[in-house]
Amino acid sequence: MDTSYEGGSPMQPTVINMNTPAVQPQSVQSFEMSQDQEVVLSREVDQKKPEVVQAVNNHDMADILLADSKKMGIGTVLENLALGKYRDGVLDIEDTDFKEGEILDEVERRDPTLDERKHDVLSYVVEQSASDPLMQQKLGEVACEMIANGQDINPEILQEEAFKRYVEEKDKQEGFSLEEKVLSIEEQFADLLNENDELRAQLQEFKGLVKQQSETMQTMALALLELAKKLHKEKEDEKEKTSLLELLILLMGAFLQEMSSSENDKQGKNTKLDISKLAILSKNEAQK
Amino acid sequence: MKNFEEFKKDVEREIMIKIIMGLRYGKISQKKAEVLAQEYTRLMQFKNTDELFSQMANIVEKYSEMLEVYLKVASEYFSQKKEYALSEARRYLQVAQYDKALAVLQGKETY
Repeated sequence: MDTSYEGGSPMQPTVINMNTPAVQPQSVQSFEMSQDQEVVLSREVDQKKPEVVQAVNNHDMADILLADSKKMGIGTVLENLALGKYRDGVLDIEDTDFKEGEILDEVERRDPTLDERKHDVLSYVVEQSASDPLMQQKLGEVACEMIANGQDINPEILQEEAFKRYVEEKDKQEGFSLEEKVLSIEEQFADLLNENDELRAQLQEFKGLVKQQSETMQTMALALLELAKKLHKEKEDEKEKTSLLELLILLMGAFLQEMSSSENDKQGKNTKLDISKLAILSKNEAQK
Repeated sequence: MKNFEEFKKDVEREIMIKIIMGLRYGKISQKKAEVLAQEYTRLMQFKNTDELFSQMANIVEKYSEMLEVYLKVASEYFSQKKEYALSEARRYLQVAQYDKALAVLQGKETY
């Protein structure tokens, strides 16, 4: 028995060649969806609609924010966003300077209605499944089975069964079982939690370093200032006083640099204090 | 050295980048984008760099995006602040104004 199957694009007739009187070629020539299939598809689209529409909206919103930032400046865009003027990725254009006609064009451009979006998604699914060789293969398989079982080929049942198998096969191929989806989301969630923990740890470390630096700086500043006061009083020569202060300031700077370098060492950088330079400096100061 | 306005611009730009990238890659919702923008407007009301970063340090606990912005921009601020304190202290020490030098080093003077 010849059961070869020729598929066509969704807009062109799809033909099944089966040399048996039970076949009703006319009824399966064009791939038109039955009401049940449309219901199944609509349900699928409805299930995916919120996430699809949300993703589309978020992506649109990001693009609009980027374009408006270039046009109006980042500050203005952030202020508008804070005031909720970009809800659903659409700028509330009441506050902009468009003329009436332009406003309508702008609204149409930026806000295709939900129905249009849904229609787009539905058409896309229908188009894709109809032109998919897998769907055509499933139609052929179901038709063969019905003939082999001596059943009359009912086009509605044929298409429904074929579409059901097509969806099952697709899910299997793409590995999108519910458990796997949940696992994938859980993994993503765990990654985000880890990332969050790392950032918090970084923040704590950063705060600790700032605090430690500030405390050490204050202690050193107090000690050095006491020393400076004492020496300043003891010395009578103005030149000597100034050079002494310069040396103290340099030492303070060097200490602070050393503190910073210990922080940099943690990040793999080597910026250790050059003691020999300090020694030469001190010697020069003493000679003055 | 960056001034207050330049730090504000840096914060503004980084927040905007976080919002756009977050929305584009599905990391944040539109609601969260709005909340971040609201936090930005609050931050922009401060009058100096110290206040700006001290307020940011308070809100980073709540928003990881703000934490990333803070870690990127604040390190430059602290390093600059240290240099400023040293140079000011040096100036005061040269004219024997020890108390003022101490105040600068203790961070009592607004940067």
